[in-house]
Amino acid sequence: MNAVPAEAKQTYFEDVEVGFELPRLRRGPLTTMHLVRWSAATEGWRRIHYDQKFAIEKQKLPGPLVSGEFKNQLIWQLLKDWAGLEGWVWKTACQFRAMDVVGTSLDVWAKIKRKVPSEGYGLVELEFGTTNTEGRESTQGSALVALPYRGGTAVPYPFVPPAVDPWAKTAS
Amino acid sequence: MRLTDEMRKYVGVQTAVQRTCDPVETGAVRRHAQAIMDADPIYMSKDFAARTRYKVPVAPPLFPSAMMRLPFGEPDPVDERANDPDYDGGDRSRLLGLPPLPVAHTAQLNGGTEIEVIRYARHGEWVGVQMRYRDIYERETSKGWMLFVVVETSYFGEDDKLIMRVRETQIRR
Repeated sequence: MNAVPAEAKQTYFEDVEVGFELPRLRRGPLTTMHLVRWSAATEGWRRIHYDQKFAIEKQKLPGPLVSGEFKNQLIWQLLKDWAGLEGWVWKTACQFRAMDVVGTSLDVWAKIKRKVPSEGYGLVELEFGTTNTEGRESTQGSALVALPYRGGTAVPYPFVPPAVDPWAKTAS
Repeated sequence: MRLTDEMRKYVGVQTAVQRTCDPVETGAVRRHAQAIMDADPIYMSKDFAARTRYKVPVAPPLFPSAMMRLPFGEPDPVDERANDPDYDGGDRSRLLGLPPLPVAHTAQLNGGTEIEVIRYARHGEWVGVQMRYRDIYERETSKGWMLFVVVETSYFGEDDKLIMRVRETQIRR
């Protein structure tokens, strides 16, 4: 496991620019043991995530699949660690575009798409994804992360959403 | 699979807010953090957390979504159906009483997720959960007609305020 340094560097709104790519998070190869450990930790027993015979013969899948819920955890880990202790990951929206079969590794990436100044903190919109061993983008999505201004205060906790939600017009 | 009038009636159907069967347990937080391979000290270290704005150890951001567990003494679907070759392992929404859609033995895939987090759950905190069918629609794909079922789950802290909301799109084929 990767531990966050006790005095991790804080990211400030002024420090980042559109196009900046976050340091990637890599996990894997993800074995059946990883998938079973996730199922046990969450007490989620959907068989396509650990039962090879069921996945292949019954569901006609290429093998047990890494769950979308698990991939979301990795995405939030990358964003959380980047936002730092004074930032906040507010929202993500993603789609699972391809199956990640047991044995794959996942590279979780994110890139800044837009900066939206707001009162008290700045919002950063990022696009993110997971790239598997075959080079396929298996997850694609967007995130809204709040960062403190340099010299300002930490983003409020619990988080107080901005008066204007940048995604309000596109939210389903 | 096509969308029927009977299925459309499920849009808006929701459960009551129900408390999860366990509070946020320290051991469950540890197992969750280890399973996602995230050793952030805010999850387990009282000393570290005390130096942050969280003040006390907190659960990983998406931990509440894993808190819908089978209450002790309830009918156990794993025990009852483990030898059923068609049993896919279950659907957590049934734990809260969200009625299943009138479709049988369909493959179900996760088509996407929207997540909003307002704060992290604290160790020892009880969490309330409410689920509803937000939308149900159909689309024709290269593999035929598919159903898209959007289920919204809201999580509330002990102060009854929202801590997290998840909208998951289930694809049924």
